[in-house]
Formats: sequence, structure tokens, C-alpha cells
Amino acid sequence: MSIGSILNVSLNALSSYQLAIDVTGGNIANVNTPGYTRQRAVLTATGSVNARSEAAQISVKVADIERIFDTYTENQVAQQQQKAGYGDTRYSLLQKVETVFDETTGNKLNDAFNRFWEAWSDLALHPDGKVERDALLAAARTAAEMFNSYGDQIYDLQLGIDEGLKDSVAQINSLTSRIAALNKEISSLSARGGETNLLRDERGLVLKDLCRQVSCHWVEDANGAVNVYLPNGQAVVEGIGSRDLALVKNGQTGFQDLVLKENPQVVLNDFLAGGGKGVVGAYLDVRDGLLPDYEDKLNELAKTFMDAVNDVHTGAYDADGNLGERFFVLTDENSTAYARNITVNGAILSDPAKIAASATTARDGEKAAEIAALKDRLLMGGGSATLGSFYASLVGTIGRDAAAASRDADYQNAVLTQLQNQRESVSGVSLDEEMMNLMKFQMAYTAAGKLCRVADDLLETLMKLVD
Amino acid sequence: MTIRITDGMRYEATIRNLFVANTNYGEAMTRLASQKRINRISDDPLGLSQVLTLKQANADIGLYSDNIGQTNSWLAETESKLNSAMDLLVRASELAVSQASATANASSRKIASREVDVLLDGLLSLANAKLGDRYLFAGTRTDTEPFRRDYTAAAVDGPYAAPENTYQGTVTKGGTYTGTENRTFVVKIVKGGDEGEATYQVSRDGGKTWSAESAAGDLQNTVDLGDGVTLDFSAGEFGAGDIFRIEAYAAGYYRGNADELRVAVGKNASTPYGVTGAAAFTAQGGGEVEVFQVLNDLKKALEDNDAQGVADQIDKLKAAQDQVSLAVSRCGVRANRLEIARNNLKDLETSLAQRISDLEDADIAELSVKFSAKEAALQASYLVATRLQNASILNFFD
Repeated sequence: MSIGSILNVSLNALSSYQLAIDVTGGNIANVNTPGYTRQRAVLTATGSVNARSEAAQISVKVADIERIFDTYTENQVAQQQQKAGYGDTRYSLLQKVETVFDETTGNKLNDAFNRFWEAWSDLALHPDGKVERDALLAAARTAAEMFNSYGDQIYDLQLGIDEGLKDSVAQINSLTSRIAALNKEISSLSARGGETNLLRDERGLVLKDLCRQVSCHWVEDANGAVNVYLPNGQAVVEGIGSRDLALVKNGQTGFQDLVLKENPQVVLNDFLAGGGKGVVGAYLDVRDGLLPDYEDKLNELAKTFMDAVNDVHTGAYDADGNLGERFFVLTDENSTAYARNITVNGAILSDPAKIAASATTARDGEKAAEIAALKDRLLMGGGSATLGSFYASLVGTIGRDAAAASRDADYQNAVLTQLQNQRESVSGVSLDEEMMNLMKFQMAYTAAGKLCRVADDLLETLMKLVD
Repeated sequence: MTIRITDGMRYEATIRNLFVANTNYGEAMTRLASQKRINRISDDPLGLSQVLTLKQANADIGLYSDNIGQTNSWLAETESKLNSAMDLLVRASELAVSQASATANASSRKIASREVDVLLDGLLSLANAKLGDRYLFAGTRTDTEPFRRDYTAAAVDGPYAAPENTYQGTVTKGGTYTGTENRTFVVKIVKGGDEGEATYQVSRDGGKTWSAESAAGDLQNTVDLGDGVTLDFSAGEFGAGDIFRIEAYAAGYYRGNADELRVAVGKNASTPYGVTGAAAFTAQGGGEVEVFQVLNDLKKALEDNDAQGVADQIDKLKAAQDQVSLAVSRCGVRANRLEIARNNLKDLETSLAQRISDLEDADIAELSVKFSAKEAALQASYLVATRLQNASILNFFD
């Protein structure tokens, strides 16, 4: 035991508290940094006390700079990001669908239908009327164009999703290669016993971004590298290497399929869709599940509408005594996309006299009345619904889907917020706490300085004895 | 347990609360501005489906009411023409009664015959009256002038080939029409091809119902349409759906047909409107008296100074009056039926409008209260946000 050792203790304490203040400063500086995990200088006492030899050497050191986090919560946040990404994307897509079918203000298909039936009914009363024929053609064109516009807008949404997928894939590829790069730094640094806290923070953040985009899971290996797998077990990050995703056009659907760049034969769509996870999952679900479903119903409606009108029309006589032609035709006769292709027969458009309204060669208008009465016929759903009620229920279905998507997005985000709060509560920086720590360490630093002064005084006293 | 509340949590929570309050405020404002409860279909999908169905029903009602409105004027016009015709017939009766008596003589009958002539003109113009450009009394042949003043022998008009026909050969009619009412015959080619291959069907009611399909090659022979009318087709190429029309007129004065015009007044409910000339003025459509014949006979008897001939017409004129009067009352009955239908529709319309409004429209009073509440919530959120920086230990350092 010596005065020198007191100076030594004082030195240890000064440098330890300086480091602790440094760490606190780092925390304060990063109070708003996303993904930052607060750090703490772990102070431990060193030295030993040997009372018998009257020797005591107790000092302090910073044993470790600890990263305060909870792996379980971190993982949960990442997992929940997948569901929140899915929910948000699905809702924003369904909002667009909802706008297509926005019947709240009228002037959509429901009105077009009503006007179409009304025009036939008017024609039934005035089978010779030029005005009534022109009005009917206008109403018929509106109805056909409304179908076209619905069909086109659904198709455009699908194309828009393809564009979104391109962005997502680019983002996923950059995120996976970033994870691989971080893996490399972390494993080489930790092999040399280095400090990897900040790198891990960054990797956690990148991983969360990746989770938002695509359904995946990951495992950390012994070197500290994380391997990321797609739901089918395909690794996209393995150690320090990553595999890129790519898009190839599906010849049948005309839309983009998701594949692994190095293995374009295996289509990953089915693995990524359906689980309710990730932006990509939502894209695929909506593009290949919901939208085709709506489109099928719309096509069914357009086809039934077209066939029913044509059926009566071709059995009726026009103003010149000809048998009627088909009233509605398809711009592409081979297409099954009836909604996008339905149009009024050009021959009738250019010559309204060809509208066939009568059951006999006299102008009785009976067939026009029969067409007007199609609105009440149970033509849809195997004889359970009229054209109008089928459409109303389609709009209802879309509304319900959108409402459900909205609720789901809200719920998933609420859960995410909850989990983020938990994470934040463990790992986030509290300025109040850091301030207290700062005061605490500052005081200790001052005290250590005082200790140094005391040792100095002691030494001086000792030296004076010698004089 | 105490939870560590970090600064990040506090700010995040405040921002989120601001968003929520803003969204709610915005929604309440949209509703208040549009005064509608449903502004997007997801606001109330079930309600919106119902609104759409109700609007369809509402459009139906509009359509039926419109139909009834238009037919009402047709019926009123028909009734007024028939009443005028009635007056003419009453006058003719008076003349017949007075000129059949012994006090009448050749010169008074001559004068009376001129009056009957005028009456005939009057009746003709009434029977050929139009509403817009459609003849009131032509049955469904509303584009054909229905009556002729003079007796016309049975005739066959046509054949008329439809303009879109493939067949370019000549069709020759033959025979004499022996039917008792006007009829439109239609020949439709079922299978195309040359005369040896093509088959046809014949309709006796203007194209509504069809005979059995002929055998191939039958077009090479004379086609018998029935009632004495035949057609001969020259060789040529026929197309499926080619239409040939033949108008056959029974002897007499009428050129229209006996088909009644109908109007839809409800789901699967249609009602005839108007009265055919056949029923009102001829013996073809359920009536018994050829009114024009009777007047012509009366005129002739008067011109010929044939007292017995004049007397013979008195009963017939009475029967003619009965016939026209029956037509008038039929108009009344039909107008009545339309009126009842219209009243029913009106009741329905009111209740539908109410239901649509219930589903679609916002309750303004309730909405205003809610809006104020949302506004207060938003203001409170702002207040909290401004207070946030006070809650820090930093404010207590000097």
C-alpha cells in the first residue's frame, strides 16, 4: 500500500468515469437515432483487500460496454413488421379498388344500368322514335364504357402492382446484400474480439426493413452472422453472401413472377403469398387473388348482361324489318375479359334504325320492353340474383374487403406500436436517465480528482517530513 | 412495475395521437361537408349494397311512372277522339231516324246525304288521328294510316324483302287473301344456301310465332303462306335470317292490326293501353259493326232516296254507337288501372326515398356534436404536444 497506488486508483477512476461519460454522451447524441440501442459502461471493482498485510488495492474499471436489448422483443418487432407491411400495403391497394367502384356519389355502373333499362323502356313506348333510339345508344355506350373502365382500372392496378414489385425486389436485394456485408464485418470483428454493438444495431434495422418487404425468417450462427431464409427454406443471406431476387414475366398471366436470380425456373410467388406477411405478400395476394376474383365477377356480370340483351335483340325486328344483330359485341371476340371488351355493335351505332325493338315486323316495341324487363330477371348466381343485385353485392364485397383490410392494418400497426414501445422501453434512450447518469459520473469524476489532490497533499506532507 | 419511458416513446406517442386525432377530425369534417354517412364504400358496405338495390328500385319506379305518364296522354287523346266519333254517330243516327220517316223526301235525303258525307270525313279524320307521329287506332302498326274511307277489296302488299337480306332474287306473290282480319305474314330463312338447300319458316302473326321448319328444297316450289296467299322465289342464294314480309289486308276499311299496345307498369306487369281501330270501328277485333260500311251504306241509301235502306241502318248505327261507347269505357277502365298503379308507385317512391336517406344521409345534429368532440380532441392533442418539452429534467438545470 502506497500513496502511488492512491494515485493509481485515482487515475483508474478518472479514466473509467470519463469513459462512462463518453458512453452517456453517445447515448444522448443518439437519442433520436432509429434502431439505436442504448449502451452502458459496466463498472466493476478491481483489486483485493488483504487486511493481514494491511494492503488494500481497490480500484475500478470499465469491464464492458453493454448493449441493452432484449433479443426476444427485437425479433418480435421484426416479425410484426412483416404483418404490418402486409396490412398497410393491402389496405392501400384496396383503397384504390374501392375508388374504382366508388358508388357513393352515383354516376357509376349502377346509374348506367338504370339509364340503360330506362332507355329501352322509353323505346318500347316509342319504337319509331329517333330521339329514343339515340338516347338508348348513348345509355348503352355509357354502360359498356363503364364496364371497360372498371376492367381497365383493375388491370392497371395489377400492372401498378408489378411496378411496385420491381421497387420491392430492388429494395430487398439491396437489403440482403447490406446484411451480408454487415455479417462479414461483425464476424471478422468479433473473431478479433472487437466491439460490434453499433454494427448489430444497424443490422437489426436493416433486418426490420427487409421484414417489412418480404416474409422471411433468420437464424444467427456462431460467428454472429445471421442467415435469412424465405418461407420455402431458400436462403437469401448465407454468412457473408446474399442471393438476389428477380422478376420474370409470366407468359400466361402477363404479370411478373418472383424468382431467385440464379434459378429463374422456380417461381416463388406461392411461397411468399398467402401468409399475410410482407409488402410483397400483399402485392401478390391482391394481384393474383383479390383482383382476379373481382375481375371474374365483373366479367360474369358483363357476359350475362351482354348475352341476355343479345339473346332478345337477335330475336327482334329492327325499324326496317330486319332481324336484329347482336347488340353488344366484344372488341376482341376471343377474349374472356368481357368487361374490358364489351362494346356496342358498331353497325348499330352508325345506324340507330338497326336497334331491334319489336316482336313483329310492325313496330310494337314489345322486345324493347322485354329487354327493359331483363333488369328484374334472376340471371345471375344460378338464378338467385338480378344483374343489379349481383353488382350491388359485388360492390358490397369490395367494401367489406376494404373495411377488413383497414381494420387489419390498424390492428397490426397497433401491435407493432406496442412491441416497438416494449423495445424502446428496454433499449431506447431516456434523456432524464442520461442526465442523472451524467451528474452521477461527473460527481464521481470530480471526487476522483479530489482523491488525486488528496494523494498529492499526502505526498507533500511526506516530503516535508524529509526536509 | 415501473416502465422506462424514453424520450423516443413520448414523441412517437404524441405524433401518433396527433395523426389519429387529425384523421378522426378529417373524417368528421368530410361527413359534415358531404352530409352523407357513407363516403367510401368501406364506410358501410352492407348499407351501400342496400342503397344500390334501393336506387335500382327507385329507378324502376321512375321508369314505370314515366311509362304511365306517357300512356296517360295517349289514353286521354284516344278517349277524346272516341267521344267525338260518338257524337258523329249520334248525329248520323238522328239523320237516319228523321230521313227514314215518311215526312222525308228525296231532296231532304239528298241534303242529309251531304251531311253524312261530311260526317264520314269527320270520322275518317278522327279514326286516322295521330299523337305525335303515331296513329292512335292502328294497333301496333302505328306508322300506317289505319282507315280508308272507301271499301277496299282484300289485298296483299309486298313482298317486302328486309334491306339486310342476302337473297337478291325476285319474290313473286300470288293468290288472293281470304282471311277475315289483317295479317302480316313473315317468311324467315332458317338455313342459308341456294334454293335447293335453304329452309324456311312462316309466321302468320308478324314474326312472333313460327311454323315448323320446311324441308330443304321446298323453296323451289311455291310457298303457301295460308289464307290463299302464296310466294314464289326465283333461284338465288339465301342467307340465314333473311326476312320477307307480306301484308295481307282483309276486305274492308282497316289497314292496322288487332294487336294492342302494351306498357310495363311494374315488375312482370304490363297492361294494354289505347284501343285498336279494329275494336272500335271494325268487325275484326271483337266488334260486330263495320262503322265506315254503315255510314257509306246510309249515304248511299240517302242518295238513292231508299227509305227502307235508310231505316235498315238505324239499328246498325245503334250497334255502332254501342261499339264505340264500349271502346270509350275501355279507355276509362285502362286509365283507371294506370292511375291506381301510379298511386301505388308514388307511395312506394316516398318510402324508398326515406329508406335511402336513412341509409345514406348523415344525422346532422349528431354529426355536429361529434365534430365538436373531434375538434376538441384535436386541440387537446396539440396542447399536449406543446407541453411535451416541459417534461424533462433539462428544464430544471440552471
